[in-house]
Amino acid sequence: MNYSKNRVLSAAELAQFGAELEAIKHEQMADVGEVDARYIRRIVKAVRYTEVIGRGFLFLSFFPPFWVLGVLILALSKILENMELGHNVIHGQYDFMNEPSLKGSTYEWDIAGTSDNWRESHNFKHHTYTNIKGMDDDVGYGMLRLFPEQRWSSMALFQTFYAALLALLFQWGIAIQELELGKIVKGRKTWAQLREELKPVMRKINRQLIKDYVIFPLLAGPMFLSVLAGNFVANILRNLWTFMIIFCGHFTADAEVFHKSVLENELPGHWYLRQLRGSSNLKGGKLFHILSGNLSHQIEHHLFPTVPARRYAAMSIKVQEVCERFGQNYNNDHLYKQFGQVVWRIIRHSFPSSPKPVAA
Amino acid sequence: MQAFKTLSENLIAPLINPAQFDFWAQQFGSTRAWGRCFARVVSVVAESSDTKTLTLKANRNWSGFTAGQHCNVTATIAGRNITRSYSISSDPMDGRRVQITVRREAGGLMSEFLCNDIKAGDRLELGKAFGDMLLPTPMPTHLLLLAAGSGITPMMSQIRTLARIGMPASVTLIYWEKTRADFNFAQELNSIAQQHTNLNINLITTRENDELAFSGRINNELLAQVENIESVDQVFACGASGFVEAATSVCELLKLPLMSEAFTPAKVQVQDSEVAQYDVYLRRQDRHLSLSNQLPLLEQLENAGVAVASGCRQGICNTCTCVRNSGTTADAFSGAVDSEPQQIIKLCVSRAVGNIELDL
Repeated sequence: MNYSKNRVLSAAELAQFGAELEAIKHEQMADVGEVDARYIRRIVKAVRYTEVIGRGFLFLSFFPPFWVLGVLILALSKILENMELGHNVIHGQYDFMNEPSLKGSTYEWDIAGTSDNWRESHNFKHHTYTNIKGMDDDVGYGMLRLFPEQRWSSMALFQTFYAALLALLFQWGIAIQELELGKIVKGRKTWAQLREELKPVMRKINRQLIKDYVIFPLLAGPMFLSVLAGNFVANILRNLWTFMIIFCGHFTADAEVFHKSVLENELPGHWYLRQLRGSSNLKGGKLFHILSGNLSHQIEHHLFPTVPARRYAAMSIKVQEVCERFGQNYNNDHLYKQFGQVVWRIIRHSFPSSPKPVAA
Repeated sequence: MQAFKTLSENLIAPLINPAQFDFWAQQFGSTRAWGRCFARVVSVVAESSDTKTLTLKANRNWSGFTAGQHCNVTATIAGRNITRSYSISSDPMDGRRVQITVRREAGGLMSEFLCNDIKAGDRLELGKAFGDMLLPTPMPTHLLLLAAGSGITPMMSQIRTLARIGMPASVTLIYWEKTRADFNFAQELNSIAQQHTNLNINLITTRENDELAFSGRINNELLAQVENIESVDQVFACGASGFVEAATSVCELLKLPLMSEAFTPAKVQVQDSEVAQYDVYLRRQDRHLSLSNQLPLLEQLENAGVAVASGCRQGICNTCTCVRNSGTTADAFSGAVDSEPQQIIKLCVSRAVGNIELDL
């Protein structure tokens, strides 16, 4: 781990650090209202229209360029729905609207994983215990060794291969994440328990499969195969994009992993510090930020998960200023650099490695 | 689930995302919805000096009402869905055409919006009709209606209903307003009274000296002047809570069976730093708890044995959200004190600032 970029904070500094970030949040929350509501409704509109246009082109894919266009537009729709709409709505960022279709506790998004499981594994575990080994299941998703602190086994030698598989099938990885299949292998969970947990998961999976691979292909009549293939590729593209964005959020070179012991006697402000050190941002334009669901501002998202994400860009300026004053590294770079570091992590830690000694 | 779904709608039900259905219906300018009841504003007509009658056309999900009931009306104001209850003033036989009559309250978010800003063609959402002040069966021989101010609206629905079926009972209406210009439905009431001699209408102004037959606030002497008061076998009273309390004690004295409904404009309570216990009503469980204003609601609900889903307990994961039907709470996470009815709140960071009702 690389602590050299961060100054060690005293308890008083830590509390002040937290209080200043808290103040940034309160300032934004006081302003949340009509603009945010208008924004998310525009996003909903974009999701719905791109879906219809994308599927429309696929229906007309007897003209091959339309197939390509259809796939790209449908993938765009799915990405927008998952990232800027679904993910942020499920965080309750738009609960202030009191709009049932945008309510965090009931929104069901358009991927294989159920929103209920996501609320548990992501909203609760991942956001409360970010990058704490053994508590945040997103650290390697139960199958990858991304930090030297994780135990090495010979399985890890093949992880570059199954990381690629995970990227292609990312929505399925998320769908089964909360089932914690590893516990079955270790005998810490019964088959009966699993069967019970599988019910809602299977219901959701069936729904998604029937929609993309039965109903829409059937509706297309003679274009059955072409639509089926188009939907398949669009889903893959969405998987690759979300995998890339999400892995860049917590597994870049400077992102830190923590031991469970950090939770003992945690000081005020420490939670904020952990969020900062465990997250990394991506530089890019406005459209890039929207397509990443503003997870390109992963640091701000982790500091302020319930603030409407469209505000992160403005907040990041203030957060950077606070980080600078407190001598904390603000991990921010372009996608190709950050993702390069992620890929390197996957390859490097497939081989035995050990944490660097902590400098005093 | 809905009575009016067509066969094709039922067939595709398992594959439909209700939010998507509602979105496209709205895009095509329809108030149709999968499950929710939207209504189009057909007309807005001034009823008296500071009231407007809104005629609404509900979609097929409207399940009707009984004369004397009210329903929740939701409007989107500054990006936020705002809900208030209004009595329905029209005759239930009008089907999906529903009228509400709204008095403008200075500073009242919803009433100002409905009186000043809304126009024909706008969309509102309606809840299910509720309320127990219903015409009894068998019909009483002499019905006494006591209405103060906006309290006339549910009674107007009843008078219209009774007029349609030929006024099968003697009806005496006493209706109080501040000045003559404030009376709602004055013309229609007079014309119904001309057609039905057993409807007796008495208007009283409280701020103008008038040569009206009756005068003054509600009391024993006033009711004693009512023709055939001894034959009254049912009294309805509706108005502000002070009026309804007065009516209750008068009817107790005269031993008249009373059904009443009181409405009081919501008062925003200021944050109280003194230690206090407040009544927390759990609507679904029909249970009252006395909870402190010093601790988060979640913790206290759990201590009282109420099962509430929860996660991070610090306002980030959005697991313990619940709808606050009424009352005021302070949110430690966003720093807001809010008393908007039907607002989604996070129980783990919210404290009661007065008596509240939760949708639990």
